[in-house]
Amino acid sequence: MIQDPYKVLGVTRDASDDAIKQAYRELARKYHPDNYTNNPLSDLAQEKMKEINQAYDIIVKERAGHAPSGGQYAGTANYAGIRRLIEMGNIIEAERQLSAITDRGAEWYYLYGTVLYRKGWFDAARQNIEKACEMAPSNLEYRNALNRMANMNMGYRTYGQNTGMSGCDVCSGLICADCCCECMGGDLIACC
Amino acid sequence: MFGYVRPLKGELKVREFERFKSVYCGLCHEIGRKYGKIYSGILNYDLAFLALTIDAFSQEDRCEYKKCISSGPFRKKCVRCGSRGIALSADISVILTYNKLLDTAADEGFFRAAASRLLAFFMKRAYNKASAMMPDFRRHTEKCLAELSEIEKSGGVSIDRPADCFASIMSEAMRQALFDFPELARMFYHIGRWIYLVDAYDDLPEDIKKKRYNPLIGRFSLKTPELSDTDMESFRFTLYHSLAAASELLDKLHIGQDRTILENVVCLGLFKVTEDVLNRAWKRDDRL
Repeated sequence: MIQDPYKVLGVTRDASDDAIKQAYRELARKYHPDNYTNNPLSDLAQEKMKEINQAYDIIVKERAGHAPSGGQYAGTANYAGIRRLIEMGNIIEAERQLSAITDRGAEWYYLYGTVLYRKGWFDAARQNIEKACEMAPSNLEYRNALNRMANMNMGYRTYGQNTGMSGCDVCSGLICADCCCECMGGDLIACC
Repeated sequence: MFGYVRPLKGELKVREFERFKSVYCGLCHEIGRKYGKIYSGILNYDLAFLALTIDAFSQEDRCEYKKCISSGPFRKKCVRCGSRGIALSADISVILTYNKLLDTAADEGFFRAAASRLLAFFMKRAYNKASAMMPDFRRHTEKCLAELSEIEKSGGVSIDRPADCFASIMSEAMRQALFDFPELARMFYHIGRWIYLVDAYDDLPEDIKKKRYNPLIGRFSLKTPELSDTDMESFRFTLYHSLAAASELLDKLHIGQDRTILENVVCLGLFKVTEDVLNRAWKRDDRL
């Protein structure tokens, strides 16, 4: 069993989550079994890979456990704890705790929608966040979440519809606009 | 289920189009070499895209000129060879096709089911060979398809849940291929979800006619294949959101080669296919 998971990954105890992920990725790349096919060290690499995976799992579980566990607060709304779980990426635990809550207000629907969003279940996510907005129309956090989803879609669709536009088109369009502007006594781009 | 993932040919440079075709030909060649020329029929553009994505992170770039039945007796085609992406995609193609045949055998009417069962019988050996190369992927695929089968039997109003089963298969394919790029696995999750939902809409008229399961029927309480304006807006929204999410993940990746081809597929190709399918103007057998 591993003594110190932080030592295995080569990070300090107060390293950020991103630093831990980065360290894991680098070690995984180094000791991945694919790099050791037909290599006498493949067994050692496999052992090391197991150790790295164990260390990463221990650290992730330990950090998630710092948020108050749903076990102590079963049935009551511990939304602050659930928000922390979502922030740390522990979506499975967040979903489990939310499902245990029976008293479901706007915040429940918003957080459940957020969890579904992280899973990629965009249809149900939108439905839940829309319900949260309906139940609390003045809440900006819920409204902004809905707007962000709509903006992301618009960004994608605009790119898809503007096929054939390149940097040259943008520049020449601007130069033409500047010329027209100067003809009429103005100056769109001062340096042209 | 497959054939929706393709580039927007008109926006590809000629050399990019040739490169995409060479990967497609490479995949055909690899399947023929490993499993027998008869299996070349299982080829599709989706798996060519998968091969291209896997190879985008490698430096491999070997192209050989080989004769090919489809290009006539005297011409040789550029065939991408020996790359990891093509090798893995060939195995994944066989595993997915075999399971699709079993699925058809379980769901369709007598003649189609019998034909599928017969094809599956002949494909069993190839399936076992591919499974030996990718045992974890095979197990995961069988588990997800069994779960999907349960969901189809019990019905329900969620479109995310059944889509998740299929998306998870695509995500796992990428995870097995490129272990240390979880963003790619996530990207393929979103693309897999999109494939499932677009296919559901495409099959909707026939599913309603033959009283078969279709996730859209439960979700939108459909008696006819036409969705109301509000429902169409919701469905369009969710399709585009999967694509937008995939596109965002692609943006963040530091891809070596073929970035422009991958961007073309995700940002332009899939957009066009979505619009064609939703307007019922999609033709599955259109060749590039």
